[in-house]
Amino acid sequence: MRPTSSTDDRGQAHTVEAFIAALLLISGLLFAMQATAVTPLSASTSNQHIENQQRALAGDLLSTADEDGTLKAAALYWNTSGGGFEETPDGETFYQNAGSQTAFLDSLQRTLSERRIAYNIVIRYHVYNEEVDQPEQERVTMVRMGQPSDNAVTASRTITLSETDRLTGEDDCQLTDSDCAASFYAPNFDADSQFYNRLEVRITTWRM
Amino acid sequence: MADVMTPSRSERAQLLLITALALAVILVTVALLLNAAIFTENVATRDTTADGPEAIELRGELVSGIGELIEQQNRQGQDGSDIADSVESGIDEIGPMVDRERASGGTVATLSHDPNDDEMGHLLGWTDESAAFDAIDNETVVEGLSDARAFELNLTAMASLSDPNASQIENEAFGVRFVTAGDNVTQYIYEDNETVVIANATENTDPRSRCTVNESGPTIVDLTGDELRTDDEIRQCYRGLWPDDDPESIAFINGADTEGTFTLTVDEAASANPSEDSSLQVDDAIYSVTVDIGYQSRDLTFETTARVAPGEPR
Repeated sequence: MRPTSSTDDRGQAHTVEAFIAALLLISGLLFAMQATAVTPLSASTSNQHIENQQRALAGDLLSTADEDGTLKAAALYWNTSGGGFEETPDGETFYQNAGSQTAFLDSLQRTLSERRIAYNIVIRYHVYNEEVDQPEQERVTMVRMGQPSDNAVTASRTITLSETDRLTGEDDCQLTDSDCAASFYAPNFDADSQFYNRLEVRITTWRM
Repeated sequence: MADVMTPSRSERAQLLLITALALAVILVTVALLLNAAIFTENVATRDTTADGPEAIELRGELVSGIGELIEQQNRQGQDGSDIADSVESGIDEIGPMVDRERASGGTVATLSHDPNDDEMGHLLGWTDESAAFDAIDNETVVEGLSDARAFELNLTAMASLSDPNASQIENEAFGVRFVTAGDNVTQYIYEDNETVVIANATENTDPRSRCTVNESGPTIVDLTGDELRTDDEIRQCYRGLWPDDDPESIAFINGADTEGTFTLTVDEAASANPSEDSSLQVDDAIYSVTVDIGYQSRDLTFETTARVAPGEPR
């Protein structure tokens, strides 16, 4: 009669053990890789790069638009009778589906929206608060696509308005004309010079 | 009593399982630590002067804004002191605004301006776009020139020449002549087969085509900005339109067939030459202002003095 635990049986058992150990090792490795998977929305080095890229992209778009005058044209695309930006839906003063309303929005549409990057645009301007006798900044929304995510980034550009600047919509009036001055969001800050106001155009972008 | 030296098969399996689990935990921990280390390194080694570009951007933005203010104010036709007062008023308003804008981002920005550093000048303007430039034909438009900027012609009509030779260009094409300490430089501007051509000539060389743009409505020739513009196209001429040596005077030649407008800002000592019947208008203007710009953040202190003279040749 053969013994129950011969040397041959022992070899088989070691082989099976080796397979199981290898399987466990590979499973552990795979688990580890899954556990540290870096997605575009996770806080990681990769995500930081994406944020940097988005900030640079938005900043470059603003710089280009400022250089060729389309940024100012978009900021002045105001409807005096509606009290909002031109071509906005009834009852709204800002765009929710920004696209081809102005050359600036068109460039954002082609550059950001097509890469599935959402954006909000806010313009900050200066007013003089008579109640507290202090200058302060107020804001008007140009585009609102939604609530930014935790990984949103911002870029801004400031433009200077002159008294001789004109609205670029259908109204086509000079900023200091009474019709324009009564409705346009930013007031004339210095009546003694051609300086009118400064507008800070701020874009907030995030991945959809 | 159990034999501890020769474990049974079930004990061996338990050992394997525990070892495998321990290895898995170790690998996960190592991976997490590695990732944390990379992220920490990334955060720690980010550009410590990250505010540098913002400071430079602030400078550019202020120079641009103040430059526009100067140009708008110069076009109001006021006398020199009124222009200077208005520009000072505008800059005094901009300063606190810049400070407020940057304060929300945790930085301090300052803008200061000393009116004593302003350089006064003259704004030359040819305003009647239906009047040919021959009212100052072969005459010097301005002389005694030290500084000139923002020289821009908006041409609605010009001599039409078909594949001209050098002498035809010199005799018939409208030319802007820069008299310099070295060779005089002339930029001839004419139309050739629906193309606006700028040909460059010196005293010792024949005219050679330097820059072209397809004709489409009025043509804007930005001589200080080295650029040709039409409604449809912008063509950079890359240092091709302004002479290398500073011009001492500027003259127009062969202006009979050329119509349009032009503007040029020159320093105060320069002497413009408007004849009684020409459309050349000479107004007081500010040539340049100098401002001090400061930017201070947690990591960066940046101070610079900027001379604002929009449209000055590169």
